Amino acid sequence: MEQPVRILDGDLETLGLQATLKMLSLGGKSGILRVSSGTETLQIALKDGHIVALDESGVTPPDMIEVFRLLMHLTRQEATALKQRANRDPGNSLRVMVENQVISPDIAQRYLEFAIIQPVSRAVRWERGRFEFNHYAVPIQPPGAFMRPLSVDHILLEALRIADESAYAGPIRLSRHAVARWMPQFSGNVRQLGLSQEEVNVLCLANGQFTLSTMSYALLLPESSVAAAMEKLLQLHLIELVDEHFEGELEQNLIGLLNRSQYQLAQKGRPSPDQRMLTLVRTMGTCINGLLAHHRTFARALRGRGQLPEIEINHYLEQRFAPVLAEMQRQCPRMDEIVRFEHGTLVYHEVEILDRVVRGQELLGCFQDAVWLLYTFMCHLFSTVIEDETGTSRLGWQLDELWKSFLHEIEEEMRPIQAANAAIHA
Amino acid sequence: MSEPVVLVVDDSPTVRKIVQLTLQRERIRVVTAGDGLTALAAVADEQPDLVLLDIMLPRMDGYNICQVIRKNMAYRDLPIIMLSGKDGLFDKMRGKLAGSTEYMTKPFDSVELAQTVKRYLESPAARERAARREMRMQGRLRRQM
Repeated sequence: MEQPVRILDGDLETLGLQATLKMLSLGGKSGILRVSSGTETLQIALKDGHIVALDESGVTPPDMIEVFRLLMHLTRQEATALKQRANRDPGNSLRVMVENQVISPDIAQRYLEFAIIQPVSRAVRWERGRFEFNHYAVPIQPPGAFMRPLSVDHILLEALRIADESAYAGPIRLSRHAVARWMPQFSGNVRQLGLSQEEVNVLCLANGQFTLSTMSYALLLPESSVAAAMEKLLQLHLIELVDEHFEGELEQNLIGLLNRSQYQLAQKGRPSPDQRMLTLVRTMGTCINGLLAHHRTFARALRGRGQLPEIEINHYLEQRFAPVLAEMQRQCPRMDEIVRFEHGTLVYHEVEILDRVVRGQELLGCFQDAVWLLYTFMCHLFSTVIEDETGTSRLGWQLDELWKSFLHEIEEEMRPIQAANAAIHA
Repeated sequence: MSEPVVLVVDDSPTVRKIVQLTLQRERIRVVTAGDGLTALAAVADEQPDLVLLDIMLPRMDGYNICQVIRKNMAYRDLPIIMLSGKDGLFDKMRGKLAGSTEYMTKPFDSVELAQTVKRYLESPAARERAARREMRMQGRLRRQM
């Protein structure tokens, strides 16, 4: 592999990005210009004085197939088929969309251009930092076959226009890395709120995953415009900002809980039907109490209020979930008092000692009731917890998918019991 | 460079999903297999950078899969982490003898799992494997164009 040759370096205070790029362009240079300021770094690849690619540290372009699906330009099925053709690699999205005539090569070119213009529009404003240019004789390949090398003048003009517009719009309160998601409680008609098309698009992409800068690229809009749209949506309580650290903890907590529950379920061996039902009771009972413990920390109503008295948290949980349990118990009265709420947790251990009181078919019937009750309550609890904590965000959807996998395993375990029960009654 | 690929072999859809969620956050592409034979096909098709392998699997157990993979010279240095509910010394020794690189017990800590996987993916051998896969993929793409 050829070694790079450094032919230029210096401070941005002495020579800004605009002048450096212009100079390299006039010299018809090929190589990589690296510019850094604070924690941000850009690498701009030039070929014969034209820009062919840009790499921004820590930034990966979004999966455009997913963006088009969220903007309702593609159905879920179409998006899935295209993702498969792209080998599930977001880097192939634009190529696959062009090949399948979802977008024209010109539109793809606009995305590739914008991925260069937007970061350059920020970097032309950097007053402090370093730059260096390394010459490579080996030509640098553009990211897509449809990408035409871009004239430095064109990129600089567009970047300066965006930089001027941003300066005119005033300082952005939101960070480029801000992530927004739809508010779960909103129940009005969005069409009646008089939102502009830009704001509607930002709303569509607020899935709790895309950052402000990613939305800017996806919508070919300057970051300042996306920030303004986000601000308005926040004021209208249509979206909320995601605290990534908090979300990470929430996700990890739930993943850990389901991991332990699955492990508990897998420790079954080849037991008798009543032992199998007891395994299910224990697994679901532990899972329910795990979900309740999780909700103590992450419930929307309890967040950000510091350490609350236990009694208040217990009261909140029981007020929210005890009536649902009571309603379900009406359908299997044998479980009345045996399964109950106490101090914000579910007490179900008496199910395990039912064999001291009843035997035979009566015992199996009681176990079946317990399994049904815990299963139904667990499903209700999970969907309520997820809706409350994550709303209709991507994280919520991912956790829901995980939950379906776990439920599938529970149901697989329940199936032989239901079959045996049907055989007895037949 | 494209994302590293990890193959997760487990008969539990919950475990497969958990590992998928955990590793996707680290920008690792996850492919999955629910039984032994599918796992062997996935190793050949996807050329993973690492395999997470359960022991108790339908059609072919984890020890056997590990041995079959190791018999192929191309996968001799492929990291294979056994991920099992069995935590006895005997099981760990058996895993080692079958050719596994590391042994983790279930229920695993997702942070620890991600750290272990990343440690192997960042090794020079893993980078070399990823570069080879990239070249193969580019070749495949060129043939398609």
